[in-house]
Amino acid sequence: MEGKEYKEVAEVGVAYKMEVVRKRVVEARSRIDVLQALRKKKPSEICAVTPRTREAFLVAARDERVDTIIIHEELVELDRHILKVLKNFLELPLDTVFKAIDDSTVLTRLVNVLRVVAAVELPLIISSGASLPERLRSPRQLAAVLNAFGIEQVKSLDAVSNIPEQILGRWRAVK
Amino acid sequence: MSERVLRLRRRYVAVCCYPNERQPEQLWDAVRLVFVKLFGELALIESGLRKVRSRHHKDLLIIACYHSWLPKALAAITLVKSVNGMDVSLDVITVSGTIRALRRRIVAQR
Repeated sequence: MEGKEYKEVAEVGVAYKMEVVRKRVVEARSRIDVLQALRKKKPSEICAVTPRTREAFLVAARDERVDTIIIHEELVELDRHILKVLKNFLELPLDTVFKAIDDSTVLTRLVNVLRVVAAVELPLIISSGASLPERLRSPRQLAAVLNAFGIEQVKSLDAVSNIPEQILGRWRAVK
Repeated sequence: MSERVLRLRRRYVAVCCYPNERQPEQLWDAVRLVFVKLFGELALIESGLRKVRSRHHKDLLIIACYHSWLPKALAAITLVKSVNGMDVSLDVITVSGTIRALRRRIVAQR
């Protein structure tokens, strides 16, 4: 969304007593990609990184300017080295789950990642990641997806309520 | 009936479609397909997932399943992304333990 469009949407949001937050999604293949994107990040934005390599993942995991790390179809395995440095929240967009339904390799990877998330109790959020109304889902339905993949019900509900609230709290403090 | 013997509780889920151009039968086929893809044919049987006919709400899809399978049934409903090649979103209106209560809740929500 361009600056002008965002301003218009934000103005409409104010009329409905809603806070509109802009999210920048960055695709990173290397350390430099992550750092360059973070340098460009404005304080009024939330930053999500899609790490395509292990190197990019490790940098995104350590840097506190990153808000969420997106779980995508090629995500590296969450081993103990990654878990040791991981400071940021993980984000599961519904698009990744849609891809997993059609591809058993992606499904295996996703189930393995979520198994680690459940075992280590990593903070996770789930989002529709939608730009069309046909792709939007209600928060409870999103939580049910996590629950079906073996995450406890309380944690699944946190993924659509408390943890996004924490991210917004962090954003409000910086803004 | 084994349901009575095993004391299996049921849950009924009312689902509507956006955009509202699809028949409940088509939606049911899509939900069943996603459920089987994710959890398998055996799970489909064990979950007791089935479509419930409703004379009162013909535009809605009403699904029944055993209560322990509810999250998985909801996940399957959520993960339906297209019906007959057209992008759709299936929204859960309400969940209830009896059809009568479900009807009452649907009326209250509409």
